[in-house]
Amino acid sequence: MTLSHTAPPSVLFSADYYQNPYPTLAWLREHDPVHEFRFPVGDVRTWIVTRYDDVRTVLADPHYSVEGGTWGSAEFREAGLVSAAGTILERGIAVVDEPQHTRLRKLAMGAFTTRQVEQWRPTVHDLVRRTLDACALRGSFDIMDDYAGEVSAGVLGEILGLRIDRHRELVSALNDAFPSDPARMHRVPDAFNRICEYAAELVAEKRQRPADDVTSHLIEASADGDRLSQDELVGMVAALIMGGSDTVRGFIGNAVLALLDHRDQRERLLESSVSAADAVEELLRYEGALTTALFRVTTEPVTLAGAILPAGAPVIAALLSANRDPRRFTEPDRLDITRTGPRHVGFGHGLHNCIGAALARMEATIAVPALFERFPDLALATQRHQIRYIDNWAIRRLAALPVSVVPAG
Amino acid sequence: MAITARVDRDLCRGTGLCTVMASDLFTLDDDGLAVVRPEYAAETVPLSHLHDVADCCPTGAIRLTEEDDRP
Repeated sequence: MTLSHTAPPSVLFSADYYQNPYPTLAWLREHDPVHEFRFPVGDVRTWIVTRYDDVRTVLADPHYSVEGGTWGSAEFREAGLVSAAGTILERGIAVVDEPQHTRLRKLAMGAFTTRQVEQWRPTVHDLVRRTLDACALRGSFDIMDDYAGEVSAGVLGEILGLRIDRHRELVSALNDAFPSDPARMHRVPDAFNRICEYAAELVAEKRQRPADDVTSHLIEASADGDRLSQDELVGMVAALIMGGSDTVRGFIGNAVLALLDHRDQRERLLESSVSAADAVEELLRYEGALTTALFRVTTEPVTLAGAILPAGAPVIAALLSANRDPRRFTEPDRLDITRTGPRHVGFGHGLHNCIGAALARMEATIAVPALFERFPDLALATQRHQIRYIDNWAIRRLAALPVSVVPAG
Repeated sequence: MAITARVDRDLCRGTGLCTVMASDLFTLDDDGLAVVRPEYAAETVPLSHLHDVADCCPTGAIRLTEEDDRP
């Protein structure tokens, strides 16, 4: 394929782009690394940043704020692009700057450190085993719904205390909360309200009947005599629901597809010549669950890689692109689970890096190898070209991944 | 009272959180993992803030040691 020098191969956030964003991201990295375009929702003047170093700058430099309601341009705010505007989530952990962010993070972090997460390992193993048993009975099944979805919903259930029957409606609320289609913007406020309502119910339930789960832990959490207020608690639980519902599911799907596409890598993993943890890091780099981080907005005019951005400029950091930047990674489009070297930004970077990363890593490190160990002949149950990604600008997730446990034919 | 900050490189995942919260003290090396700057002077960072950074680290990789100055 020849890349044109005047325009990216497919228009950002178009149907073609969602199916294969990599040629467009490669073109942008090469020709226009801080690219100005019109965000489809509200036709808002927006910049997308695609090189590794620049993505890290946007995520680390305090001139790029997560508080869209405070610093965003008028057109950004008027287009309804401020996440969760008008709900308690507008002051949630993912969308507040310092000093408030540190306070919230300190109170919540205790539940998610690597050490804390380790104690849930047997729970995750057990859940994965039971889910595999159910898949074995089916013979052919959908990785997204029947495996990755079951495992991630099960973990949220056991660890957050979330009731599993509510999980599907939450995923639908989430899809409504971050629409890629301007025609669906009217559903956004209701979607955030539904997520907050559910979080409030969960907090009330756990106040009455505390258990050994993250929600109960957050209710009890204190640091230096400080505690979360009721609104902060509900906002935190809502943020964890939003961060954990579709991402782990999406990543397990991407990882399974990558290993189905690369038999040699799958064999290496099963031979245990590479640790599952190292393999998962490379799979996170190769295709993580997020195409982009949440919006940043500039607090004053800034210069980035030669481009001048005005104050209030909405900036999108393309994580998927940073992880495929040849300036940072050798042969970035090649999956190589033996790869070592630079860190990927699949979980973001800086202050707002994923708080649930240790848990997500543990889930994937257990669930991905276990699938191929249980079903060594696992194969696609559809044509490769029929595998589709959802139309979403921020989340990189397969719509469905039908597989069969016995070879076709 | 002297305080020493160390990064446990087996635990660090290079999230960059400490380098944003206390850029005078921490930086990312070529491997993308956090290191304490060689010219580090912990007293330039308020003690409570150092504890904040350690508490916020997602992998618990920052170790603070407080010692009496007395011989």
